[in-house]
Amino acid sequence: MAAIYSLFIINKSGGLIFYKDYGSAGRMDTNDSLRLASLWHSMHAISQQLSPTLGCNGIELLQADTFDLHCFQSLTGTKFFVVCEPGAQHMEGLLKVIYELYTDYVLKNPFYEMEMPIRCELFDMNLSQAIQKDRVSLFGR
Amino acid sequence: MQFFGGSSVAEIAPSPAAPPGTATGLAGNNANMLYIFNRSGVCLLYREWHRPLHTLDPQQDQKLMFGLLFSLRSFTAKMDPTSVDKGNLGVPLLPGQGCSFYSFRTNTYKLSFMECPSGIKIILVTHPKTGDMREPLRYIYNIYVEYVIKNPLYVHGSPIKCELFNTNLDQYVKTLV
Repeated sequence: MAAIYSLFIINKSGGLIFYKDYGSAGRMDTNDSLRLASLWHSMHAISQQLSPTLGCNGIELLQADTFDLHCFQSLTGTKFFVVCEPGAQHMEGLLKVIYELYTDYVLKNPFYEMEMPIRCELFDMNLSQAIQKDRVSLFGR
Repeated sequence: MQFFGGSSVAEIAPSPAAPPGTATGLAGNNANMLYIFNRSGVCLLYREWHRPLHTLDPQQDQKLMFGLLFSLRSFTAKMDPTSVDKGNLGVPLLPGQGCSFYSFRTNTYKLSFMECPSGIKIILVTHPKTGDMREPLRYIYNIYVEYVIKNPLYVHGSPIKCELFNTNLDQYVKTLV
């Protein structure tokens, strides 16, 4: 598994509820990350309109020159996407793990308000552990 | 005649041919649609080989496609994790400026994109399991140069109506896996 550059979580209306940067040179300030999250939400929706066949669920993978972007949309419309190195493997698995952590430590948290920015310590801790496992294998190369 | 290190007309050879339609089960062609836009957003060509679902009328569809690509380019330029100084979102980008994407995939289709230095954008929509389409897109650009640009009757910026171009394009697309 390769290192990821950043992780975004968007609520069903397109608002950014979580953003974590894992050491990219192109670190963004809050405003920019908010704008990009909304932009992604709209483009994800538009891509469904351009499908030649029925049943399109939106963009799952975007490949660019210097990065890949993997996106996972849950059944409720919450989107998780990671920006990683081109050709990174097993990102879908990682996204599913992050989704599980989200359901366990965010949704089951009685103090968490739906669709609001995520401020759950346990989620942050477990997320770092899950990402760290990936990075260890990167440094071991 | 050389562009992107591509071959001239005489040497253009189709890649190893798969029986038409085997990859996707489509009768006769392996791709769904093709769009060609110029830098101002005029759709020069829209070819459709297999499209069961038409969500919008052709005009709207083409505008939406162009808008999506424009926004995606701004998005990828801004999202680039390797460059420190990036412009602001929404600023029109020159061809080749900033990080650009070359494909995206959904569960029902894969869209491959190529922008040339002249601002011509070529978009190919295919089956989601298609591989890297950058070389085929360059080949299609070469076909465009040979049969459209070099056609003395073609007016730049207007929709393409060259029979030879269409025939060669269809033939080439049939050989794509």
